[in-house]
Amino acid sequence: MDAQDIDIEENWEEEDEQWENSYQRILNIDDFTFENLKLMAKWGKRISIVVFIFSILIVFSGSMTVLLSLHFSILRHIGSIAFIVLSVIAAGILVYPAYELGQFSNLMTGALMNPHQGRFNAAIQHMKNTLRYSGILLMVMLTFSVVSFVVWMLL
Amino acid sequence: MYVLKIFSTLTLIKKPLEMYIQESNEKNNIQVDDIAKSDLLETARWANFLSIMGFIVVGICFFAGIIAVAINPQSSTYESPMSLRFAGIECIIIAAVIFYPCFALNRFAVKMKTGFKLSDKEEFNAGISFLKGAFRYQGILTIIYLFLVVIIVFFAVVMGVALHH
Repeated sequence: MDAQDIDIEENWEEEDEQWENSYQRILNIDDFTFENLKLMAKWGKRISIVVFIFSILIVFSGSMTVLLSLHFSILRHIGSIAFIVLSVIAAGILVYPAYELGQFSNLMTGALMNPHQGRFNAAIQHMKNTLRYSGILLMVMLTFSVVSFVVWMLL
Repeated sequence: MYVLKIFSTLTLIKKPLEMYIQESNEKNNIQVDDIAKSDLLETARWANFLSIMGFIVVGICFFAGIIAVAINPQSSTYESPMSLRFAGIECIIIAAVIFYPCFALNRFAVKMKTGFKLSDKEEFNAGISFLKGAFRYQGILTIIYLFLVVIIVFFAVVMGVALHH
């Protein structure tokens, strides 16, 4: 056995070791996580449906309030338009996370039923989008509250 | 002869077992690869932010509630001391209700980060479990909330009709 053969064997050993290490680092989805992800998808779907219904109800109740107010001459025309716009904005704010959550649930259920790595990754991405949206919305709301408070103090 | 019989019996037993193992592996053939890992870590960061903000809100609500309940009705300049106490109790209830999702999101974030940092499967599983808990809790809460809204709207309509007549 010459020096070149020994080098090749050592390289193989190193490669084997690296492969073993990388294999250990990959986190597989076991039965426990599988069940938890399935439940998450189930609850995610329920939440998204309820939020969709709720956003429709907001628009519906906003429109009904405006119609009744106009009928009894409580609101003026500009006020009623503002009320409708506000209810549509409120519904729009709710629709996006509900859509993302719905996508997460559908893709995750599909990925778990027929194992598909791409679908699983896409589902995780939609879940990330849901939480990111909630975080950004919270930051915007906080900024708005702080600005309103400062303006109120100044006035 | 006997050897052949034993061999054929063993192969008959072995086949379904192998098939079962193969099916079981296929079922969980999904891995948390680099893309999923980076997305999950970002999710954990946002979850951590949301949980911290939630804890702040819980703290403010809880202490405001305690102060409102503990305040002396005689020394209060509030219109109705009972309504102030009621508002205090309401604040404490709100704080108690929103505590668990914040806690679960925080645990998810911490466990997920540790799980990826140490390549620890137990931590990763625990993180997913906490996130599932948060999802389930929010789901139940949303359904209860919508149910209450429907009941309130129903009674409001009934009361409106009754008052009109």
